[in-house]
Order: sequence, then C-alpha cells, then structure tokens
Amino acid sequence: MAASGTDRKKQKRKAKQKQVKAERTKQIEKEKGWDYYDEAHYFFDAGNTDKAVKAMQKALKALPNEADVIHLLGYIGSRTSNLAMELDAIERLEKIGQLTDDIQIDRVILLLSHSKYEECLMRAKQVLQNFPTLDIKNKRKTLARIKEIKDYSERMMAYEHRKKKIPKETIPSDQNPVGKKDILPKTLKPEVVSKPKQPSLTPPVIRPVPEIPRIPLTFHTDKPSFFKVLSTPEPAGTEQYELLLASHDIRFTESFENLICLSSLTLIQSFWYQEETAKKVLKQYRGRALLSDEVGLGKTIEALIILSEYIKRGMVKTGLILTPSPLVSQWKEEMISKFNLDVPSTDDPKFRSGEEAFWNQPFVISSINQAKSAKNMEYITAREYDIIIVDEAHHLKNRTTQNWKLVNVLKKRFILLLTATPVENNLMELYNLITLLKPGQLETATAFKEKFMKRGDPTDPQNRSVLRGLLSQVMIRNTRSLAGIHIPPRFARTIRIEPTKAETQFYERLQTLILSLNEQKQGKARMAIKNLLAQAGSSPKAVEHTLTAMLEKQDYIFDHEQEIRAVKNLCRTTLDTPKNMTLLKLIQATRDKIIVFVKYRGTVEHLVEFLEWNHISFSLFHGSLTNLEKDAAIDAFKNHTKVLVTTEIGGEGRNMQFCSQMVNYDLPWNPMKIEQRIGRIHRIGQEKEVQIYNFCAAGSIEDYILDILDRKINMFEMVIGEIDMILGRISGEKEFSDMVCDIWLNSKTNEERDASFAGLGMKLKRAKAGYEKTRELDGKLFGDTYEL
Amino acid sequence: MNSDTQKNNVDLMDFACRFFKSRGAALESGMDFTDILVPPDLARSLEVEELITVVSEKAGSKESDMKNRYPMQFQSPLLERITSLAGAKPTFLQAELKFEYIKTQGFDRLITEAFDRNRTKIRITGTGVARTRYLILTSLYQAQSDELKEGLMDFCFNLDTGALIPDMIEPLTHVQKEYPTERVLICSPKEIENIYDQINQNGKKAIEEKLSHFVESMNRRFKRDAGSLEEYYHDLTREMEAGLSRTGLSERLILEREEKIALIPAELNTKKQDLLNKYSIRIDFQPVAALAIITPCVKVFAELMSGRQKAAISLIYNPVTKHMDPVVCKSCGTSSYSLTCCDCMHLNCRACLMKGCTLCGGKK
Ligand SMILES: [Zn+2]
Ligand SMILES: [Zn+2]
Repeated sequence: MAASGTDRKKQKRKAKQKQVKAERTKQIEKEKGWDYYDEAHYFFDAGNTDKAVKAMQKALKALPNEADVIHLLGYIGSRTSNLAMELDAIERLEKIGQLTDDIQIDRVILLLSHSKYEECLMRAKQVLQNFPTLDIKNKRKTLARIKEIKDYSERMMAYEHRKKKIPKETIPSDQNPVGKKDILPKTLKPEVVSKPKQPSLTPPVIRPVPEIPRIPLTFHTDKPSFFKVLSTPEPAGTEQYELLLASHDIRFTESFENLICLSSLTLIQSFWYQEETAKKVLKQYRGRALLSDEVGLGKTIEALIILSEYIKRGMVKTGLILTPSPLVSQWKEEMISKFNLDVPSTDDPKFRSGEEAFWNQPFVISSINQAKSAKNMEYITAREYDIIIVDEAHHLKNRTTQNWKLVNVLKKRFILLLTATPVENNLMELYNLITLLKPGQLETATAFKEKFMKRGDPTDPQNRSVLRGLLSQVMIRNTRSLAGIHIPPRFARTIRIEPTKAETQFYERLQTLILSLNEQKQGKARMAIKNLLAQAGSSPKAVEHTLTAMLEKQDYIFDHEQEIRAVKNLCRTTLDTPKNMTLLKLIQATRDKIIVFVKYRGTVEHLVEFLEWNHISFSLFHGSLTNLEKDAAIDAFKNHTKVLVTTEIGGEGRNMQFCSQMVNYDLPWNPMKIEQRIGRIHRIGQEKEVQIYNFCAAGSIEDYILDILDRKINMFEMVIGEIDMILGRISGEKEFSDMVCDIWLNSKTNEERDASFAGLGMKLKRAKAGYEKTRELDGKLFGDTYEL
Repeated sequence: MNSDTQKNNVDLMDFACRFFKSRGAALESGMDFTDILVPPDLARSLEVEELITVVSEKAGSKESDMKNRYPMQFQSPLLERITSLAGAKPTFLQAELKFEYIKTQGFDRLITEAFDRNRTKIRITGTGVARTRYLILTSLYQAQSDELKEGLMDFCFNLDTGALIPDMIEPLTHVQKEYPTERVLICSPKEIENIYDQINQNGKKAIEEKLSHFVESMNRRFKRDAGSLEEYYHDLTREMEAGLSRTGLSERLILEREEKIALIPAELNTKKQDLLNKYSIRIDFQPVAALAIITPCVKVFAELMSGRQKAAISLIYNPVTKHMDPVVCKSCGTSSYSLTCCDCMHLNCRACLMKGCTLCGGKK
C-alpha cells in the first residue's frame, strides 16, 4: 500500500520528534537537578538542614545516577548522623558501581557504631570474602579489625537474641542480674571513635594550609648624606638645630589624619566629603577601594587627592590611569591644572601605539582601548604599578571581557575603581568589580550567587546584612544629600538667530568648500574641516583666522586656493550682526551680570570691538593672561563691569558664583565641554537660579545639537556629570562631536540629515532612559548605606 | 595614633615666631598674634607678603579670611612651607661641655658593677682627666609598607673609641654647654665611614625593635590577605574541577576548562606577589642633624688578666651619663659591657667569643 509508506515515514518522523523532545526535557531535568544540588550544598553550608535535605531529594530524583549527588547525600547524612541517609548513599553508589573499597570498610564500621549488628555481620562477612581483592591501605590491620568486628557482632547478636527471650521486668535496667554476667560478650566493643574515617563520603573540605612567608624588610641608608652632614664646614646655631628637630616633630603629627597634599592644591577647593573619603581610602581601605559616589560629587577629585597624597608621601612612584577614550584629555587636564601633575597620555600628539618607551614612563593616562590592544598590552602587563586607577569602572562589569581581564592581570599594589553605577543589570557586575579589588572578598562567583542572589531577580540581593558588611570594607558611596549639595535649578533657552542674506551666502560657500575638501582628502583634512564647521557656528571672523592660516601654510589647499580666498573675502562682516544685536538686547534687558562664553580668538576680537562700540562695560578673561591678570579680570567683573567675555580655559578655580546668567555665544560640540562651562557658575555657592542662553544660527549644526541635547534629553537640567554617563552608553569610543560631524558631512540631502539627527536623538534618549533606570536601581540597592 | 598627644606638645605659634626670628625677621607680638616683617628673600620662598600677621589657632579661625593674616594650625599651607624650609638642610651643631666637678675616684666599684668579666680579672693601673668627642646623630627613618611610619632616631657615639653610648641624650640637657661658632671638631673620613658602618649595623636592629609593632601588624595583614587569597583560588579550583565531571559537557568545553584550571596557580602567584609588594617594608634612613660634643672625661687605665695572660686597656668614664662607656668588640665592632677576652687577650663580645675571635683566627 502506497499510503502506508508515507504514513510510516510520518510516524517515524513523529517518533523522532518525540524522542528529541523527550531528550530535551531530560536535559532540562538534568539542569534542574544540578540547580537543586547547588541549592542543597548552599543550604547545608548555611546550616539549614531541612531545606538542604529537600533540595537533595529533588536533585536525586533528577540525577539518580550522579556520583557527586550521592556523595553529597552521604556527606549530609554523616554530618547529621543520619544513618539511614548515609547507608542509602552507600547503596546508591553500589548500584551505580561507584562503591569504592574504602567505603565498603567504612560501611562495616558505620553499622557497628550504630549497633546494627545483623547487617554489620553480613557486610563484614562480605568484606572478608573479597578481602584479597580489596584495594585499601593498611590491609593487615584492617583485616584484623574487620574480623574483630565480625566476631563482636556475632556475640552481640547472640546476646540480643537471648535478651529477647527473657521477660523484660526481670532484668534491672542498670544492673546485670547476678549469675548472668557471662551473657554479655566479654570483649569490649571495638573502638569506633578512632575508626579510620578516611575517605569519608564527600572528602571533607580540607583547605591546604599554605606556607605564608613573612614580608620582606629592607634597610637603606644613604651613604653620601652621612658624609655631607658630618663634614659640613660651618656649624649651625642651636636655634637652627632645635627648629629643625621641631619641624620634623610637626611633620610627623601629620599622619593620614591630615592630608598633606591639600596645602599645595591652590587651584581647587576640595569639599569636606572628598577629603574624608580620601582619608578613609588611605587609612581604612588601604588603597584598594571602589569609589562610587553619586554623579556630580567629584570622584575624580577624590581619586586624585588619594594619588597626590601617596605621591607626596613617597608611597607611589608609578601608576596607570585607565579611562574611556573621550575622558583621557579631561583627566590629563584636571591632573595638571588642579594637582600640578603633568602625566603623559595616549591623547598626546607624541603618542604612538606600540611604543615601549611610552609605557615605561612612571605615570601614564591611557584609554582602556589603547591599553588592551595587543600592541600595548604586553608592555603594560609586563611591568609593575604602584597604583591603578580606572574611571567609569562599570566598563569592567563583565568578567569575560578583555577590559576585565586586562585589569585583572595588571601587577599593582593599590587600585581605585571609580563608577557611579556599579550595578547596571545584575549583582554579578558588582561581584566582578570587587573581585578585581580583592579577589576572595566575596568568595567565588558560585558561592556569591548562592549566598547573595535570589532566583528570578538578579538585582535584589538576599542575606543583605552579610553582604553589606563585606561591601563596606571596600566600597564608598556618598550621596548628594550627604554632601549637602543644594544648588538652585538652572534653565536653558535656545535662541535661534536668522542669518542675514550675506551670512547665508557665506555659510553656503563655506559649506561647498568644506564638502569639496572632504571629498578630495577624506580623513586627512578631517581636523581642519571639523574646525572650520565649528568656527562657522561661532562667527565668520573665527573662520577667517583659520582660512588665513591655511593660505599661509599652504595646508589642505590642493586646487582650492581660489575658492578659499573667495570664502575668506566673505568673512568680512559688519559689527552689528544679528547675533551681536541679540546679545546686546539681552545685556540691556537685564540688570544682572552676564558671562559670555566664546571659543575662538577671532570671535572674541570681533565681540570685544562690538561691545566697546556700544559702550558696554566688560572684562576679558582668556588663557594667555597671567594669573595676576586673571585675578584682576575676575575682580573687575565682580566689582564694576557688567559682562565677562571668556574663553573656557583656566577659570576653574576662580569663584564666579556671584553671576547667574550665561550665554553660549558659540556652542562646543562636545556636551562635556558645555557642561564645564555651566559648571563655572552652576556650582556650590550659587544662590540664584541659573539662566543659560544658547545662541545658534537657524539650520546650523548647533541648531541640531541643541535640539538633541536640550529638547530631546533636557541636558541643561541634568546634574553635572550625568551627560558623561549617557554618552558613555552610546558612543562606545566615538566622541559625540565626531558623530555629529559625520552626520553633517555624510548626508546627501536635508531629509537624510534630519533623519540621521533624529536617529541620534532617539539613541541618546534611550541611553538616558537606560541610565536613569540604572541610577534608580543603584539608589535602591545602596542608598546611603556606604556613605562616609 | 600618636598625633593628639604630640600635637599638644608643639606650640605652633612659638615655633613659627622662632623660625622667623632665626631668619632675620622683625617681630612684634600681641595677644594671640604676632606681626612680622619678613625679609624679602624669605617672603618670596614662603610665598607671602613682606608684612604679615601670624595668629594662633584659636584666634585664627574667625579671621583667617583677612589678607596677610595666617593662622598657625596643622594643614595650613604656610606652616607646611615653614616646616619644610626649617627641616630642609641637615644641620651640624657643635658643643663644648663644662663641668664644675668630675669624679676622680671610686672607678673600681663602677667597673665591677658595669662590666661582665667572666673569668677575666681587672686591675686599675691609673686614671687621668682627658678630652673626648661624642657625636649624637639624629636620623629620619621612613618605614614604608602600605602605610608610612616615620620618626626620628638618635644614635650616640664616642668618636674616639667608636663605642655606641646608651642614654646620653636626656642627661645632656642638664649640662652646661658652649657653642663654638667655628668648626673645632672635624670628623675624619675614616671616622665617618665607621659611623656609617655602625648605623648600618645597629640602626637596623634598633629600628626593627622600635617598629616591631608596625612590622608585626603588617605581617598579620599580609597573612590574612594572602590566606583569603589562597582560599579563594582553592575554592575556585575545586569548583571548576567539580564542574568538569558534570554530564553534558562537550570534550572541547572540558579541554577549555582544564586549560583555565591549569592557569590558576600562576594567577594566584601574581596576586600574592602584588600583596607582598603592597606590604613589604622598606626602611630608609637618612641623617638630618648631628650634634658633636667635646667634653672632659676620665680615662681609666687597667690591666686585664686571664690565667697568665695580661693585656692593658683603657676605659672612659663619661661625665654626662656618670657611667662608664661600653667597650668595643675587636671582632665585630659592637659595643657592649663585656670585658671577655679570647686566649690572646683580645676584647671580644660574648657572641664573637662563641664564634671565635677574628683577630687570632678562632682560638677561644
Ligand atoms: Zn663581637
Ligand atoms: Zn683573639
């Protein structure tokens, strides 16, 4: 029959499917079994025998033939003196052919110790029968023992047998009836206390007692200095001698109680909680800590205080600072400007990847990406560092990544991990960070999961108080409420300025030039192009500077010289541009002082001329002023001028909080730079609401940037530092400004451009939502528990 | 740990004023404050104006905002600059001691009490007043582990005998001194070399004793951390090994895991080395001040006798300590109160006597 052929095939296929399905279920059952096994282990270690036994039974059901599981059964049995359980385990082992000869002996002794004479006799006989083939230690001794046990069991059985026949009441419980003494076997019960419990069921956890050497102690004297002191030609006065001794006494009182580096930090004012945090890390955590203050509290400053302190005390002479690429230059700048530490970085123009000499310098700031690249990693891992600092350490949350492995293999004495969000999705992330600091602090990953993680919710820990105790030995997390940071809110307004016809013409010509440059020499002219675009957003005067320089140096010109000259001619503008007029109106409309941020020199000159022309009193602050001139400029602004025109460099340590209005005359493309500007006045000490006016030309790149940063993600209302966290989620290693530039240059049509910027906006919005979720989670998890 | 008690002992105001005075400043003191006219050079190196007011800690807190006013308290930048300037250059001071009375007899009893003689007999043959030179060398020690411990330590030598003199500093404060402004006491390079050797030899011993608490605490920490590290890697290995025997692992996976397990000991070793580096103690010793003393003393000449052997020695009575100075072992150079001799009548300390005198090649 033809039909039956296909039927059979169908049946066969069905049967096959059934089989596959069954196998899959079996596999899942097995997996579950192992989970139960782990659970039983955990509960038993935690002292909850009931739960352990229950889990054990489930494990046995799923994995009846697994020796590991049976061993655990026996282990639990022996530890709880549950004979039945132990015997059950032995029987099961026998069934699966895993009964070792040692355990056979054990069983006999076990039965004896529980006075199970009948079975004991049976097993003893069995052992004696196979004795020549047994593979055990101390064979002769064991043989004698088993024989002894066999005899004893026989006698005891006989005794019990007789005892049963005599009515109970005739035998006093505590005394053998006279004349019946011989009923009891004369030999003593063979010792069970000293039974060779050697391989007991699961081998008990005996950790090797490691030989831990004493720490080396070395003694150094500087010979030349002895000669120097003892052969000085002129003796000193007694006063000088005594003052010298007193000066040392004063210095010694400054243990970590006092941070000695602070007195040399003239450019920043550190906050009390930052200083206390540094002291705690130095004294209590002894240089290995997770710094996870909430965003905006200055973890970088804390880490750098610790670093400077170690350096000043001579305890740290080498170090590696690892950060995401976009933050390298920020670290470099903070270190030099605030801590007077000039450290080479992978952002330096001199840096070449794979150059050994670079990595052999005492201190280096490196992007994690550079550090982990095959070219560089060998140099980094070969040497020793006194200290490692990792910023945005949540990038090390995953143990299987190269980031984690890199930091794990680095040779280091001290290590600081900085992150505001140690947990993003899973407590294991925290485990991984802490294990970098102190391997073993949270035991093994398996043990950590068992002890502290609930099934189902990887963010909700159990055994909280134990976990808290362990974490508080390595982690510090200050909150804004502890720091007492209460700054009035800030508000931003985008002011779109319609360009004049002439300006539009200038922008279009420039745009054409830029696109043409970009097409001809992609990559090479990239920096110049990005600059020109950013300058166009500032003022034509800023562009003019660059074009002039290009013509002079014959840079990136190729066959564009003609066109460059043409565009340069269009840069000449009048003073009363719409942008300047808008600024003037703004200045005249308020009685408050205003800071005007400008990035480019050309623009500054142009603006200064305009303000002078309009009799606006202003001070000028820029990077090429001396410190005294800078102080004078700020003093003047504080006391009599209405406007401060400033480039962003070098204002950091100076108090400008008396002013609450600022204008971004041009807009940095890098949001962190925007934040730095805001941070000059929106900081502790500000008593008024801060107003931020962002200028942009309609339809310009800045217009798009503001649309994303202000309208889509409300950056101007966020806490300072949060934008880093959000950008860190999207850009990977690419800077926001580069993404923006790429979109601008690569879009063929306006529609395409709109769509790409909208896409970027969406990405940022999602990143913000993700960040906020994490922030909330960490707030819930850690709260104020790990504050100072 | 020791800061509070010490803090109270140091009068920062007084210290600062003395400092300025010693550097040629003009001072005018008021209640809780002192106006100071600072010499231009000093003002520049201290980064202050030429006319300043230093105020005591109590008065300072409320007015520290005012210009040219500097509260003298710990952590103040000016104090830090003053101390580092005052402590910057090692100083050499010399003093001549004056005594109205120095004992001239009764050395017999003093020597019998002070020295351990074994079977050697001693007979005083004469005494005479002489001059001798002492040196008190103050050294800065810095013991660095994962914390820093520093302090000053004094060693006192008799430059003429090379002996290390205990307990000389405290009684010295009660002795009348003169401070010659020209250098009268010159240490020869050989003497300096000898001092340097002594410091190396005795300094290490003394510092270890002084820092024994610190050293022990570092050892404890290391032991605890290393232990927990061992435990962690041991557990990890066990866990990974247990994981191997589970069913359902492909051979490739097993191989991979076995490779990982094999790498654990190496990782453990690096981490242990990290800890060892973190805790290992390095002690740096650096002289910061020296006080050279010229003083009268009494030289006691004596004869040591052991069996038929005799040897003439001289001992020094130190008028500052009012005690005999120790003698120096001819074999190892340590100072001791032991007048024990080898068979050839060389002075040897007890330890060297057991090992054998180095001068005559091991004979007892
Ligand atoms: Zn000796
Ligand atoms: Zn000898």
